[in-house]
Amino acid sequence: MSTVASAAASARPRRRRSAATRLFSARTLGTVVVILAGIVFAFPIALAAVYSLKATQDILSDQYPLSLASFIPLRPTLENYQTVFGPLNFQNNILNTLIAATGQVVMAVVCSTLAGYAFARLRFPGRDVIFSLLLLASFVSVEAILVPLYSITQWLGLTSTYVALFLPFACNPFGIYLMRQSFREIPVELEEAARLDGANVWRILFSIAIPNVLPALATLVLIQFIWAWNAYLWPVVIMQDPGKQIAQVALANMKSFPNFPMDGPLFAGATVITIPLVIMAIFLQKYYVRGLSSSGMK
Amino acid sequence: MATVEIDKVSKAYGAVEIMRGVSARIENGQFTILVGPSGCGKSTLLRMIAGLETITDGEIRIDGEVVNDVAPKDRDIAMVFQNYALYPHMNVADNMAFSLKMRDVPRPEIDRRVREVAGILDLSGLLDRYPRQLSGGQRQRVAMGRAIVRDPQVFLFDEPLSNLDAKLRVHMRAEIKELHQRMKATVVYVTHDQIEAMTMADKIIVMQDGRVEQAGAPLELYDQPRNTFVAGFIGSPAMNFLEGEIDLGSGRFVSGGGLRLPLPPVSSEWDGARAIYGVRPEHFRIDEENGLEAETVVVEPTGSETLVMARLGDHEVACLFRSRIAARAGQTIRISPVAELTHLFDARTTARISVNSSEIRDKHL
Repeated sequence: MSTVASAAASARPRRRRSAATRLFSARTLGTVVVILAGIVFAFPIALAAVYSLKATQDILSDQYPLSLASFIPLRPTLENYQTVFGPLNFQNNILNTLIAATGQVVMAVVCSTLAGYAFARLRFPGRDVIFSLLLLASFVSVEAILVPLYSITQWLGLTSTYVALFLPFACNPFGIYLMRQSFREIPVELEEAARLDGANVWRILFSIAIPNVLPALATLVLIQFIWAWNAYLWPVVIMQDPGKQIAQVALANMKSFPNFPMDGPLFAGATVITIPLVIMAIFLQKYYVRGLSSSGMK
Repeated sequence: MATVEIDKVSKAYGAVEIMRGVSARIENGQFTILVGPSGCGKSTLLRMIAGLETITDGEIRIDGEVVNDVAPKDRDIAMVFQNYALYPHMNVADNMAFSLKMRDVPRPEIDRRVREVAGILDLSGLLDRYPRQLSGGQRQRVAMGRAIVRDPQVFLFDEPLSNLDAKLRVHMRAEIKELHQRMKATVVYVTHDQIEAMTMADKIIVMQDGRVEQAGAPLELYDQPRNTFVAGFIGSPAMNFLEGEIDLGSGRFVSGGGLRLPLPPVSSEWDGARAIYGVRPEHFRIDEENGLEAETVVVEPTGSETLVMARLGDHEVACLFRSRIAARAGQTIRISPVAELTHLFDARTTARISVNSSEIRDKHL
């Protein structure tokens, strides 16, 4: 009897230990996977940042570009940055990108908020049909509508203007969907209480609804900013004025300087335009995650 | 303060009619409770008064003025919602001040009124807190404060206590009642809890399937329910019902199972008619000499009274005795209903057919 009891007693902690070990190993494995994924994503950015401190000749003379030795700039230099911000006037391209991205973010936030609220709360004929069409439109890529989009912009006389860089993307189906879902999650009684308190639709939108969807709004700002910041195809097509060209296109053009390798400045430029995104992501990521998870898109 | 008149109001969603010709009158300063089971239309009616639901047909008048097409904000009413609907991003003071700001009341006046109402509701120390930092009872009080601060003509309450625990509910019940007595406000209050209705109301409107079943003072509904629905809904534990036939010759009601029960006063035209016999649990008496034999199934002593579930012939009935009963489950007791306090309903229409008078009742209580 006592033998059985002691055996059971000794078995219990072992069982507990094995459960703890399982949990630990699962957590360790998860951490390792996340770190590996992080390395894979961060590698190109880190490589660009390191290479931006090397002279173009050094970059081209690397026999094994991905070896450990190539990661350490033996003769670190800032000449690439001097070139980028000197003769290449890359700051002008960054400013253009900033104008385009800000314009796109402002337009998308205004349109998505108003349209999202209308789809979530207002009753009007054909509401659901229009919303379905809008969702369908989100499946059509920019590449597919590039030519008609160009024609319309040209017809409006907006070719090579800043407005042309962001106007076509003012209506963003994803943004409208995101905001609609967020507005729908606000208890309808909150808005009814405001109606009884004497607020009209605009007042309800600005004083009650929007303050309660700020995480979603932050998500929208971040996503839209990343999209606009990384835009390439549309600016290439619509912007024919080099003085108003955006940074991404200017960077790509560095690859096509005839007989003059620009790898160093290219890496410097790539590093510079990554910085704003990293800063934004750091500040807005907690809202970003909350916004996405509360929009029913887990 | 104002009267609210609901005149033949109907509501339909397409072909589905959810409210049919509802009429009711809520007097100035009266505490009126709309009560009924889920889906009976009581909340819809309240929202119609608020202007949050449109009316398909009929009229709603507040202080004599037809408000069918008047916007909610212009009806001068305040509503307390079931989930309180406090603005999460505003603190208590701003929540209470919002409606006054919307009406362009000067800031010093807003501050004065918010402080005054916060004092009445014991919220003075919580004005800087956000709703998420408050307990259920405190949120409830803020919701009431938001309504009171406006000094509206009519207060509407939509099941405001249903999210509170039982103890707090009893406390808030008394607090709302006391507040009403102090303010003499016209109140329309929705609940599905008949005890809440009985304890708080000046007038109860019982609803079912989008119709008013009966409206009147709480004890009037309790003593003289118009039909079996009201009889079963008002009162806890609920009234016992037995189906059978009226035999005026012997002065007995003969149930389907052959039980012979004493009849309440009923006119002779109902002799031999199929009827439903209703007896409230508290109207059974222990009667060792002439009582009917009943086998106890469950005995629940609460100290002040004893609830006994007993098998009476084929029927299981609830009996509530004000005294302590020594019986245990499975024993036989002899019980009889107090004839004058029982009710008879037409078996076909379920409408009340017996005549009770309050003098008879008073004699027995």
